[in-house]
Amino acid sequence: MTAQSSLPQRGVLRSFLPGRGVLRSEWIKLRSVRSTYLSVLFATLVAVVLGVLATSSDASNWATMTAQDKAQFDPLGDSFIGLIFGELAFGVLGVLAISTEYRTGMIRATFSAVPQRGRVYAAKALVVGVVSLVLGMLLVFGSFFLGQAMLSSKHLEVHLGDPGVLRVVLSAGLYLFVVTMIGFGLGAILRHSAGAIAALVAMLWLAYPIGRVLDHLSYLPSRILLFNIADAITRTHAATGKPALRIPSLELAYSSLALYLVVFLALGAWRISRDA
Amino acid sequence: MPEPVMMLRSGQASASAPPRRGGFLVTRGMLASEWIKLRSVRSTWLTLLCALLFVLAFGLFDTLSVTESWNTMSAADKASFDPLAEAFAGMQIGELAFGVLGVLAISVEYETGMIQTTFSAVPRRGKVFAAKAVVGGGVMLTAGLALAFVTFLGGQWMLSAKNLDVQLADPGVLRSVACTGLYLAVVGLIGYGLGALIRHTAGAISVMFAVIWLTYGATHAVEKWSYLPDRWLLVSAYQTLSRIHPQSGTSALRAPTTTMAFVELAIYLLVFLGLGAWRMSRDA
Repeated sequence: MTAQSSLPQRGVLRSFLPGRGVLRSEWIKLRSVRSTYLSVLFATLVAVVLGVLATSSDASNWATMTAQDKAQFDPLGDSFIGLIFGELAFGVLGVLAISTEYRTGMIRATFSAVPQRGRVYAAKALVVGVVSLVLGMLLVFGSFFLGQAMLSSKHLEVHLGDPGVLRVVLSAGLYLFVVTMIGFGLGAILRHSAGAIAALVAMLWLAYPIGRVLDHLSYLPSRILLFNIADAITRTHAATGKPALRIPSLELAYSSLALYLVVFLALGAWRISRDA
Repeated sequence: MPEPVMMLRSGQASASAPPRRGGFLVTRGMLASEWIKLRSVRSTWLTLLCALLFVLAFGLFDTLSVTESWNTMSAADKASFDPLAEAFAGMQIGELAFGVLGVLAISVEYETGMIQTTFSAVPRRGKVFAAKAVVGGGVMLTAGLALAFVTFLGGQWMLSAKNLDVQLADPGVLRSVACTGLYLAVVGLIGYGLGALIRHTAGAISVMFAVIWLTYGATHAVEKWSYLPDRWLLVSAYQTLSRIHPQSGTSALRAPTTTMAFVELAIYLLVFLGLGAWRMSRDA
């Protein structure tokens, strides 16, 4: 700590640069824990199974569906219907990546090995981020291809080359990554699994009353809720009616997603550099 | 040392030999000890306080947004206005808090190792499970009813400015408010059952949340075949029990009848408490 504070300015940036050893130790900690595999496995299974169920029900009921239902049919939305479970599992993974160390006291061993807290935080964020990005992309592309295979029997499928499709699939994977990192930031801020998970799910799914309350003044609060951001970046058809007012434009959606990422990671970094 | 050994032995003997009798009966001392454990933990009160603040704030602001914009609302919006739904707009946050409280009531004992002390004092696991369920359920039912009535009164007080308010004596109103309190306690006990089943805070909270809020993803996936799974969702049961105006359109197809809603709550409660009791009577 003293060495760090005596180094002016230059030390600030350097104190967040993790070495290869720190990265490796964080990777070992992440991959050697059973709950990492359990949550990812759970996410994959439920997301894929539900996506297949939804798309195969579309295909087998297509002949009897009403014109209105057919107009609302979204081939991507239905293959991604199970991704909400993926978001939950990825977010919990992010929380646990850091909250568990505080609960078990492991964080003391970590800080004894690497006293610069910024480096520990950056190494953890990097490892969790890369893992969630890679697994998230695998999950969304897997769900996409399986879902489209189900729909292809009725020729309802879309292809990656169709307008907007590749962007939507990539955005769904990106969203899983951001949710994981928000969970990670919350875990670092709150240091308790229960509190951080509760805060995360409240933000992801239960925050819409905040937006609704303010709707008569401005739709902006609704538009920057994670739920509506996710809707905006993963839909191929434009929404109609009142819900459409709550959905942000693509520019607003991507920039507020980036803002969420920066704010929660920064809050976590600030908190971890305080006393453990 | 002989005493605890004998205690254990007599505990095991009476658990297996005289068939089951009194396996879940609890004494006043056990209830007192569970009550102390629950009330002496900061997170219990913090969780309940969070629930109260969020539910009240969301409910009152949402009601305010209706009274503010009432004069400019469309006829269709006015027709679908439910004087209870606005005040209860933040109730899901309350449900989340109660569910987390239920999980923590048991998972923390496994994480800290406190459960070993508990089982040394009361070797009969069924009794420990029952005592915790009675104390936790009692606290959550009381707190849930208080939360529901306070939120209701606050919301109606704001609606009375536009003469939109309803009274407890009006048809269905008392039932809706009481059922909201009951539902909070049911969610809390489902959390408790999952906490006992999974024994890990993070896992139990995630599963609780998935069971209550995310299962709609699963039921919507099969909606083109049948609306039956929708009707078996906890949130659908609560929709039926908490509204005074019946729903319309697709929402109506997803709503169970009132009787079915009560039966569903009972079955959820039985299943999750049963799973928790079964797991807890296995090795700690």
